[in-house]
Amino acid sequence: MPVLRFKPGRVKEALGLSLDKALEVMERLKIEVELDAEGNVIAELEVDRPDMYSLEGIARQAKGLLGLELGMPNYEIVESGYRIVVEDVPTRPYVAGAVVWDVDVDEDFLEELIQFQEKLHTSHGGQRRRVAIGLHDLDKLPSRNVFYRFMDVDKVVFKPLHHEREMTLREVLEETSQGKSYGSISLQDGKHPVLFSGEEVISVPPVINADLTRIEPGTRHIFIDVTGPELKPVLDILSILAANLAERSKSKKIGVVDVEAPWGRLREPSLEPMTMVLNPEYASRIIGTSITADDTVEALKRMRFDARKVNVSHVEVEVPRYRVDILHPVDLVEEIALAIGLDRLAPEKPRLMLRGSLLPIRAWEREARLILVGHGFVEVYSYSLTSCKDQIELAGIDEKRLVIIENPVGVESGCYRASLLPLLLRIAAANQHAVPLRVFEIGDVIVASEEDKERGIAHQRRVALLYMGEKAGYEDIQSVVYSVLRLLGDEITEVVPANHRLFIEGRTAELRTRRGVVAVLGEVKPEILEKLGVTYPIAAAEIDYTALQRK
Amino acid sequence: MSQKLAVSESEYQLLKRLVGRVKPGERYTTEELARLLGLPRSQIESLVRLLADKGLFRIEERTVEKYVVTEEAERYLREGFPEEKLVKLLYERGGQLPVEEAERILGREFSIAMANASRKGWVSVEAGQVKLVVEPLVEAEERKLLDRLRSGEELSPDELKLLRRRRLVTPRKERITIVSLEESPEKLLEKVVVEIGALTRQLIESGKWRSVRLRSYNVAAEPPRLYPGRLHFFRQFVEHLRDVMKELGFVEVEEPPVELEFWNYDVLFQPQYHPARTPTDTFYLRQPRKGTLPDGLVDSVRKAHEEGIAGSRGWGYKWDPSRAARLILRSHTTAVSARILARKPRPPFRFFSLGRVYRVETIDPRHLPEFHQIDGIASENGVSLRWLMGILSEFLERLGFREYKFRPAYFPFTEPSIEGYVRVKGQWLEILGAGMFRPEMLAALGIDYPVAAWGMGIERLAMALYGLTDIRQLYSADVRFLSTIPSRWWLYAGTQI
Repeated sequence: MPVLRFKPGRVKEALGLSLDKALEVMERLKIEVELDAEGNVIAELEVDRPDMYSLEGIARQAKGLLGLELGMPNYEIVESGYRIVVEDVPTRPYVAGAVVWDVDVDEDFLEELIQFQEKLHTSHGGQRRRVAIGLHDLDKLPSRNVFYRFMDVDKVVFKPLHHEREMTLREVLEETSQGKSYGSISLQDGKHPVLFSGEEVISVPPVINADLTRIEPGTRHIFIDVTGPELKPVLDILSILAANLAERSKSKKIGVVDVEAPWGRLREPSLEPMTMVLNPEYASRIIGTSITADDTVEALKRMRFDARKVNVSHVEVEVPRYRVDILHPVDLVEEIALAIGLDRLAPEKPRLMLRGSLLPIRAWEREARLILVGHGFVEVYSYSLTSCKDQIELAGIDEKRLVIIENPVGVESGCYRASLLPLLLRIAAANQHAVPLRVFEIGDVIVASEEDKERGIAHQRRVALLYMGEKAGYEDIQSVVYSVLRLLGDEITEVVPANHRLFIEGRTAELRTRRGVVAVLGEVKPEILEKLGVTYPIAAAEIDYTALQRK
Repeated sequence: MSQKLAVSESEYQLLKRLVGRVKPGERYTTEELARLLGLPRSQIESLVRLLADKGLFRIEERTVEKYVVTEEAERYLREGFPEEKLVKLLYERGGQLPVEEAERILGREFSIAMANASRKGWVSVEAGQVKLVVEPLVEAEERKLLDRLRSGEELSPDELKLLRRRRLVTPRKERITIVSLEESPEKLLEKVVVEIGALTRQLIESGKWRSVRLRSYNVAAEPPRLYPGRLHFFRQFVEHLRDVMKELGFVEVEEPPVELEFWNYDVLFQPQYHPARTPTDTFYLRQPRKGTLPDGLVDSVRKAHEEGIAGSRGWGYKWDPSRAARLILRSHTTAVSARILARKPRPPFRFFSLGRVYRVETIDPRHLPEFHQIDGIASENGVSLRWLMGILSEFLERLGFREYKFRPAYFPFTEPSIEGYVRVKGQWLEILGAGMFRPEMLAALGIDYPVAAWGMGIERLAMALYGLTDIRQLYSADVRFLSTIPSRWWLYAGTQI
C-alpha cells in the first residue's frame, strides 16, 4: 500500500485544520496515519484512491466530509494552444497531455509532486509499464507543438534531467540508473519513444525527462505528458494529475492539449463526469440500515459527488473523472458508509440458526492425533514448502511428480512437500540430544498428477511418525502403526515387503487396511543417517489416509 | 516398632556380621574389624560412622604413626632383593665370578647386593673373586618382614629399624578409627529396623515389607524433567478456530493450495495488471505450469474485467485467458470461497475454510512465505455490512476478545470493505479483512444475492495470544520446546482474554 510522507505544516495548511483534527479526518477517509520521529505525517493509503496520493487530493475529500465544500469541484477547462502530434510508436502508442496554470511550485510542493508521481508510477503505473508521467515547466517548453516519435537511440541527443552533459539516447538507456531500470520497457529494434517540443527533446518515456524543462521552485505553470500501451489508464492518470494540480492552482485553470494520432484524436483532459444511478434501497440493503434518497444525496455531496434525487428510489450521481475507483453503484454505497462513519453503524448480530460442521475427516484426524500422543509421540508442525532435493533423496519422490515453485524464496522452500518423511528426518537430526525421540506430523502433501485435471495435481492426506533411539528398529514403528490403526477401528489386511529410498531392504513394508489406508514403514538406511549426521538408528512410517475422506 | 532405630540394609548386614565376632567393651580399629569381618575397610569406615551417628557404636579417632612399604621395597618384592639376585647369578656361573664381572652384570645394584650378602654371610670375596658360600635357595628375611607389615602385624622395633635402614619402609601419620560397642551385636539388632528406599515387588511378594521401614524422602526436591507426548500448540489453536466457526453455524470446506490464477484473482475481479499478480508477490509453479480453465465461466469473467457486468464499467483492459490458467500457490483462502460460490449454493448458507496461503516474503521474525488464513462466506436474509460486523463481533467475542473495532478498508473483491482490529495486551492488532463481495464477481458466477465474506490471518493472532515474538516459533523444530510449552487452555474456554 502506498505510504506518503508530508510535512505537518503542509498538512495543516492544505486541510485548513489543526494537526489533530486533520489526522482524525484522514482516518475516516481510509488513511492510516502516524507521526514519524521528525514529526512528519506518515499516511498509508489504500491502493484504490490514486486521487488522494497528493495532499490536495486528500484536502479535497476532507473538506467535503467536514461539510466545507460540497459536491463536485469546478475546474475551468480551456484551450491551451498546445498540441501533440503522434507518429507510429508501436511499443507505447498512447500519449495525452495537459496544462495546469498557476500551480506555483515551491520547495515543499516540489517534494510532494515527485512523491505523487512516484506513487502513481509504482501502483497504477505498474512500475511505468502501464503508465509513465512526465511533468514539465510549461514556460521552458521551446514550442507549443509537441511530437511523439519512435526514434533510433543513436540519433537522439539531449541532456537528461539532473545530468551535466548531453548524451545519446543509447547512452541514457545504458548508463543512467533510470535507463537501467526502465530502459527496456518500450525499447524495440534500437528504437525508443521520444517527446519533442519543436526540435528539442523534452522526454523519453517511460525513462526520463530532459533537463531542459525541469520543474524547480519558482515554476509557475506545468505541462503534463502521460504515455502508455493502453489509452484508458493514460487518461485516468492524466485526469487525476490535472485535477489535483488544479486544486492547488489559484485560477483552477486546466488547459486541453489536442492529440492527433494514427489511432485517433483526443481533446483531453475533459474531466467529463460519469453519470451513475443509485437506488437508495440498494444502499440500505448493502449497508443494513435505512437510507433515504435525501440521505443519499447529502452523503454523496459530502464525498464530493454531485447527486440529485429523481425519486425515492432513484438518485442520479455525477462521478468526477478522477474517481477512477468508482466502477459500480456499490462503490457509491461505500462512499455513503464512509460519510455516515463505520463507528455510527452498530453491528447487527445474526438471528438465524444454522447447523455448522467440520469436514468428516477431522474427527479421524483428531482421534489419530490423540492416540499418537498416547503412544508418547510429540506432534510437530512443519512448513509445506520444502527442499526439492530432500524430497527426491530422502523420500524417493520422482522429480516429475514434484510440485516445483518457479520463484521460490530459497532452495529450502523450492517444492511443495510430496512426503512428510524428509521433514521428520530433519527434525530428528536436529534433536539428537532428546533421544529417545518420538515425533509425528499430520498434514497434506501434493504431487503432480492428472487426478485433478483442472490443476494437474493430486492432494493427499498423510500422517508420518518417527522413532529414534539407541536401538530403534522396524518393530518399534510397526507396533505403533498397528496399534494406532487398530485403535482407529481399522484392520490391517495386507503387509508385503517393499522397496523405498529411505528404508533398508528387507526391513521395509507396505501395508493396507480394510478402509483403504496405505502405509510404508521401515528402518532408515545407515548411509542416509550418516548423510544427515544422525548417529542413532531411526524407524519411521508414513500413512496415507486420503481414501477415508472419499467414502 | 516406631521406637526402633532405622538403619539401612547394609548397616543391618554389618551388625549381623558382628555377632559372635566382637565383644562389648572391647576396642577395635576399623582395620581389625575389616579383617574380622572380611569386608573392605573403606566400607567399614563409612558404615561405623553412620551407626555411630545413630548412637549404636562409639567411635574414637586417633592419629598414629604407621610404616608403609616404599616403592623401592615394592620393586624388590616383585623382582627380588639385590642380594638374592647376586646369589642366583653366582649359582648360575658355577659358584664364583670376578668382582668386575659381577659388577658389570648387576650394575647399580651391585654395591647394595654385596653389602647385604656379605652382612648375611652369603658370599665372600677372595682374590678378586666373589664366591657363593651358602645354598642357592636363600631368601632375604626383609621379604618376610614386609609381608607381615602389610598384613597388619606389628613389627618389633629391631625389625622396623632393619627395614628403615634399608629405606624399605617409611613412617607416615595415619588417622585410625577405634570402634567400641556398649552392648552385644545381638542386643543392638533387636533395637533396629531396616529402612529401605524402594518398595519392590519382591518385598511385597515375600511379605518382607513387614520387617522393613520405608525411608522418608525429601518430598520437596525437584523431580526429573519429563518430555511427554503432546499435541502441537499452534495446531490446537487452529482446531479451536474450526470449532468456533462450527459453533457459529459455518460448514467447513477445503481445497488444495495449488490454484489457478483464475480462482485466486480473476474470479475475484482482481485485474491481471494488479501488482500482486507478479512473481514479486505470488508464487508461480514451474511444474505443473498450467491448468485448465473451467468451462462456462471464462466468458463472464472476461466480460466483467473488460467491459463490466451488472452495471459496472469494468477495468477496461484486454483480459488474457492464458494468464488466468497459470498455476500458483493461492495467496488467500478467498480462492476457496470463490470455488464454493461457483457451485451456486442456495441461501441461507455459511461456509468456512481454513488453510495455508502463500506470498513471496523474506523470512524474518514477522514474516513467512506461508501462513494460515481462515475465510468465511455467508448469505441469508438481511446479510449486509452491519450483519457482517455483527457476525464478526460474535466470532471475536467467542474467541474471548472484548475490545475490537472496525475500520473502512479496500479489497479488490469486496465493497464496502472493512478491517477488524482486536486489543491484545494493550495493543491494537489488525487481524481480519471483510466486506460484501463485489457485484461484478457475483454476477460473473451467476449469483444474484449478496454475499458477505471475511478472512483472517491466524499466525499473528496465535503469536499475540501465546506471547511469541518470532513467527518461526510456531513451526519450531525443537521437540523439547514443543513437548514442554505450557498450555494456554484458558484461551479455549471462551472467557475473556
